[in-house]
Amino acid sequence: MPPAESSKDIQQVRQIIDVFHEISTLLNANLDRHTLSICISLIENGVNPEALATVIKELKRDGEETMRQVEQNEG
Amino acid sequence: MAHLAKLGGLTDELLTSLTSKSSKTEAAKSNAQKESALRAFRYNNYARTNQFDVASQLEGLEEKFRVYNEDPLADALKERVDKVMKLQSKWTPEILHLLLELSDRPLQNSKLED
Repeated sequence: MPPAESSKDIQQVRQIIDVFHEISTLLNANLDRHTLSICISLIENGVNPEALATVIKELKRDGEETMRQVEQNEG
Repeated sequence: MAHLAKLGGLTDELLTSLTSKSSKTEAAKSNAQKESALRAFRYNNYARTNQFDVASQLEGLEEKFRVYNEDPLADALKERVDKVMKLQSKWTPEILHLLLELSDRPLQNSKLED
């Protein structure tokens, strides 16, 4: 019965991601569901959560900086 | 090697997910960001997640919500944390640790309607 099992697994994974996403919203962590799933996969592959948080903050800062530059060039 | 490739693929996805909303950065910058992220993931001096610290931080936050009369937020947080603990995913403490690290002034900014 592998298909039934795997669909049950997928359902459970979705449920876990849903709850983590709700916690993320309550903590104002600013992660959408897709980004959160990627983060969970990275953690499952052994990435340290603090290192991941540092990288995410840097990438967000870079993204905001790029946005500002684009807006300045357009304006 | 397969593990490295997987990490690289996930890092690519993370970069796309976090930077696509602003505008596509040039390829060179994007490569530098990926290299820097991979280096941070592979070589870092951070301690391993302590599940008891994570639990205590979440309890502290719940208490803070209550002290500032944000009982509905405290209840919502407690309910979700209890639920996630019951689901018993192997990586729950690490994922909660990440969310706590990324948390940005939840008392001022979090709204239950969100």
